Amino acid sequence: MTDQTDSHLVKRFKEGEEKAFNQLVLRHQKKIYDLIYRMTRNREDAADLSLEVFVRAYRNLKDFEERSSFYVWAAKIAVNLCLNFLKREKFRSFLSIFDLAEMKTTTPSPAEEMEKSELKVALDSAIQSLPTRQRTAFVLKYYQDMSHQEIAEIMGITEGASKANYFQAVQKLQKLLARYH
Amino acid sequence: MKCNKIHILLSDYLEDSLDPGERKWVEQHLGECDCCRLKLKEMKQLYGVLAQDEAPQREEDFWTNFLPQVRSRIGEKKRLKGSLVPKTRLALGFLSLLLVVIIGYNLFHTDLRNLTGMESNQNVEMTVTEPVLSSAADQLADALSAESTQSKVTGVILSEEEKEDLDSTVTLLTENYLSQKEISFILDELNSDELKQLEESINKLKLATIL
Repeated sequence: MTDQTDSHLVKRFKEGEEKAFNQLVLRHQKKIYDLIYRMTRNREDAADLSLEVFVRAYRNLKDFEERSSFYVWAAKIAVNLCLNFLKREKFRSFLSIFDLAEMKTTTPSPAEEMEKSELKVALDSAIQSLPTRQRTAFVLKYYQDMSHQEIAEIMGITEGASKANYFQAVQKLQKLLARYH
Repeated sequence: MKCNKIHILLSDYLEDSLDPGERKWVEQHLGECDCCRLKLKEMKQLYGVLAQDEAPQREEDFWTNFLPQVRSRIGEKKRLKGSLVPKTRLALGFLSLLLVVIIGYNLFHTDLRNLTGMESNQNVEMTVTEPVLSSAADQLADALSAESTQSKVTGVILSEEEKEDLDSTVTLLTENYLSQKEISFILDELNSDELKQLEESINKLKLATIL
């Protein structure tokens, strides 16, 4: 069964075989988690959102037309969830200016913070400072090793725009991380 | 302009994912452009830094429990969806009821306001129209007396002046009646003889108009 392609598993699920979906989850859970972690830079948020990706994938898999691979489709769900999450977080942090008691911290616990090296903190900060389009293109290209065609499909942009976003992200990171070169 | 295009291709060049034509073009340009060579060097340095950015590893339990948690959430959402149907119906029923109450209250409230308003308006109208009506009644009385002296009871010959008086009186009364509907208050105050006289006068007027 493990030799089956995603496409076969999707077909079996559409035919009513629930277990086929489990295989898809087990096959892609780590990569989806990694994608979300790279976008949010937070373990707990990544854990919660990656579960949600598969819940949404389950609900919509019957309508999946397979114009792209299952993973690209699931990554698109993940990216959309992340972008919504980041927007909410941005809004929350904006509100927290007025009400510090309501502030939800996305920064790691002190124990986690201690584990982090200075470089890690700088990397988190640099990637979080990228505009969302650039961050998405960068994460999908650099960490997920996707082609610009796949990135364009996920982000709903052209391949050229994907390349440009990626290059702009790289340029910004070069400046922000110059002292670690 | 050419350098900008090369810069965008540099990451693919490093990953060796350019097609042979593009690769040759980039290599040729790098051979003759210091700026682009520097850019390539910086990009390599950045990739060296980024290589140290490892995602924190999750404990094995997390991955063991991942699928059960996904399944549990799917189950929860299904239950929630199922339980939402009667809840939604209940909510819709409640909203409908609320809507009916609000509309009913507004209608009733408006009617009540109109009714109370009418009562107070009636008093005003009565006071306003009193001189008009009394003048109309005077004119009618004059016309009737003129008719009784100058016309025969069975005859319908009225002088032009009388006809005009009667016409204007009836018009005035009719207008008042139509616009303010207050004539009944006046008629109520007339005795039977006066009413009879008025009726006869109107009949004569009708005949006069026909003729």
